[in-house]
Amino acid sequence: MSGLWWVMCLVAMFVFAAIGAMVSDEIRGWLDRLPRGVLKLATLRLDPADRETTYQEVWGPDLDYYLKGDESRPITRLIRGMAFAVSLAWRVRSADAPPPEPAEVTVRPAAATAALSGSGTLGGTSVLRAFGDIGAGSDTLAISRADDPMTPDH
Amino acid sequence: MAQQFQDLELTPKMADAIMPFVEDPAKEWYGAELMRHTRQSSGYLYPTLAKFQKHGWLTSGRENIDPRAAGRPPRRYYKITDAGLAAARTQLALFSQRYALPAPAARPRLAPGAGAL
Repeated sequence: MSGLWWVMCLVAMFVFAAIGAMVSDEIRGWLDRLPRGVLKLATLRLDPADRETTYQEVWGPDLDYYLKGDESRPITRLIRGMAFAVSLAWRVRSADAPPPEPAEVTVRPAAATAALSGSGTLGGTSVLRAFGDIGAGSDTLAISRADDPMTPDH
Repeated sequence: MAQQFQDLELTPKMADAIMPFVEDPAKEWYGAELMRHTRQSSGYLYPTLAKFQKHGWLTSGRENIDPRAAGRPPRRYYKITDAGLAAARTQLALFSQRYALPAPAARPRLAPGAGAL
């Protein structure tokens, strides 16, 4: 009787350990999906045409980088992944979708100068030096300051 | 599809986001990397990057990796354009002027003995 009791206890211990490991794996799997789910919800705030591209090409890969990075322990992974996804879900608006195709912009220096010409002058050589070789020897730069309706409120 | 360059006036968050590009114009930055560098949340940073792209300040491309070998999809990287660099430097200088401390001489001084009871 006593021997049988010990065997049953041993079997029960193994069974519970196995169930515990399976439950842990299951929970870990679901927790990994949670940030992705929230990120999917965040894309619902974008225009329907931008959702899939933004998720697949911009936000999703960066979230994956977080979730599969070197520092990715389960709790850290969950916290960072959720912070990433929730912040986007909270803040993003339909106008915030990135351009769908990675764009190569080629701007000639002359075009850049033309874009910068307009009203308003800037002095303050010491301030300019703080940001590198701005102006390349000239203390005054002309810039255009067109009103921008998209300037965010943050 | 090339984005047309347009000028922008920087907010503090935008200045934070563009600063790493101005410091090293040749470097390509990834979103997650920029988040860590600027300590901005994704909710602020990604819309800002999108805005810079739409205004032609930044250009983007896809990371050159084998997704199977890396075990993750390629990320999008961002790089500053020539026009964006010139405009960012100008705007950062303006921004710095706007938020500069007043010169010490301009601060009010108490008359001798004014603080005595």
